[in-house]
Amino acid sequence: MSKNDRLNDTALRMALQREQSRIKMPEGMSGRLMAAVREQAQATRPSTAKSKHQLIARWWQMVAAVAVIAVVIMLVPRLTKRQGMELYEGSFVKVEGQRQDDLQAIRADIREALAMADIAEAAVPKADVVQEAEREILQAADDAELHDLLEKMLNE
Amino acid sequence: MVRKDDARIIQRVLEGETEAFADLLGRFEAKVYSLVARLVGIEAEAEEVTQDVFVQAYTHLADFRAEADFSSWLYRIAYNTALMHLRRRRAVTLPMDERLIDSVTDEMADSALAEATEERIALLEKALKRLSPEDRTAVTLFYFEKRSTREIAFVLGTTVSNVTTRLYRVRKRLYLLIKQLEHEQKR
Repeated sequence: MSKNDRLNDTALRMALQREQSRIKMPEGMSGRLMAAVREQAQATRPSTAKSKHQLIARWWQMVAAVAVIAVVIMLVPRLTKRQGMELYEGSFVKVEGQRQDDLQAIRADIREALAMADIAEAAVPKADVVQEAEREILQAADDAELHDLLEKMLNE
Repeated sequence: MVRKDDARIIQRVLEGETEAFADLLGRFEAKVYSLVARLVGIEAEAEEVTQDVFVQAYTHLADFRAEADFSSWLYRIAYNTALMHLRRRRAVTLPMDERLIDSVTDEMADSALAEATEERIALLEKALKRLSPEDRTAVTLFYFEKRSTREIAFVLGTTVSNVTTRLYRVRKRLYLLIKQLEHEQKR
């Protein structure tokens, strides 16, 4: 549908215009509309009501945070146990009881340990996000039954 | 995109200044009422539906995304609220045989909608009332409000190609409705 089609349908446009001229807003409607909005405002504040979109976003944030924590929990013990190796603050490494302080030889292990430390560190604030997201999801559930169901799901 | 002054008012309302909503109401109530009245058809009900539209808009103001025009967002609420109202009222639009619509050529529709004689305009006004709410909204927004097919798609919750097809077919539907009305008048 091009702009020309719109311009050519003169009779249609005029019919719509004529119809519009018959539509009269009832007297005092603005006041009544605003009164209804004020009444609604006393019951709910728009800014406090979390949207479905926001709740879904929060939910995914929470899922991502839980996934990161799970990965860290799974990988950290595996790293420290691997080949009977222990890490001592980056100064030297013990491999099967033998002290190894040749930096060239243990560079890869140090890098891996530092990377794991970064992941673990990044996971710490995510734990707060999880708690906050859980709290917000529970607060947004105004129905008691839904609230109980969500609480149960989150505790599982 | 949302207009800067609309965005400022929305922000004030979201921060708790309920009275600022009166500015939005003042700017858009006539347009919303007009669309609702066309869809609902009964003026007494149109005010009630318009009230529902603004109460919903206020309640869900935090959901408004700035990528859409605020009036389009309001129209979307108005369209859905009017549709719900019509469903409760069990208002029925008589379906039209799609094969019949296909039989109408572009030239037939062109001449029916272009010739602005008094009689044709009066018939078209009646024909518009027989359109489905979806068609009526699309026609009103496109021809009267001069909205783009993209904006209409947002209001109807559909795709741009769907709106383009709808507008194309509605011209043929209007042609058939004019013929039907002419036939009814002769009887």
